[in-house]
Amino acid sequence: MRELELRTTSEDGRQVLRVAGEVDMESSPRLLAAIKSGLRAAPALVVDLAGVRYMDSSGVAVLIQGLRAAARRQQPFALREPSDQVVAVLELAQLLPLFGLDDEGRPA
Amino acid sequence: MVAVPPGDAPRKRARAAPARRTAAILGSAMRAGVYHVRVPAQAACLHAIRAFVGSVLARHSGELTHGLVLALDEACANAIKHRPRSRGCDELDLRIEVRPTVVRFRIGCFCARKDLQRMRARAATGRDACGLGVRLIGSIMDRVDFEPDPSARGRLVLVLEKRLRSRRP
Repeated sequence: MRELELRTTSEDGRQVLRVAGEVDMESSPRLLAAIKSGLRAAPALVVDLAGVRYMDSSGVAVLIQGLRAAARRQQPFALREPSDQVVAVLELAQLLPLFGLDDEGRPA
Repeated sequence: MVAVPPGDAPRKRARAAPARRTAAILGSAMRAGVYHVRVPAQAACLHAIRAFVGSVLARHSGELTHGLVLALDEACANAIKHRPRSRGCDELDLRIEVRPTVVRFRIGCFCARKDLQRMRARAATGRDACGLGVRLIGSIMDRVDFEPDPSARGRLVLVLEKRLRSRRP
């Protein structure tokens, strides 16, 4: 899947933003807008990255912006099931430890 | 996207049927291990660049492909942001050289020489996506360098190199 797909659901009072496709310079502004919207809509936000096939530095920058925005609002912000591609780029940037990982919703 | 063998093919003809021509050229260009690609300097074209380079590298560099595609993508994104707004820089000019022991990317029209110091200072902060991208490129590639653009005075070409372990026949 090339195009960025964003879907939001509610789960135990949290907003879950499911991201699929490719996050790059062109699509990352849409992801940022969705994260900001999610933070406004619920007291906590989980960003599910299982379906992300590609992420570049603009996507990482958006996740950092989301983390900072959540911290300013004193809201929990976590990543769920980052795909291998996402983990690879976060590790390269040495930023993986920055993010909390949400284990709920992981398939048994 | 238009892929042309080095020093070959008038661009107008290459544009006439891009998909078919690209497929046809890939075969012949692969034998030489050198690819020359021109794409509009637009963010919407980054996906096509990744797909093209990924398919080329997958045959040569195996598990390094993701990192190399990421590095080139970051470089192209920065070129789109920083390219001189002068005539002739409305396209990204990519040369991809795949040898048994090295992969080399050359991105023409990357930036104006006069802007290099400012860009480096900004990248050193690592605060925005641009700086982060530069960090990623540096962590993936073995050589990141600028060279004068032979086709345009005052412009620079970005050169990225990754050494590969030589494979046994």
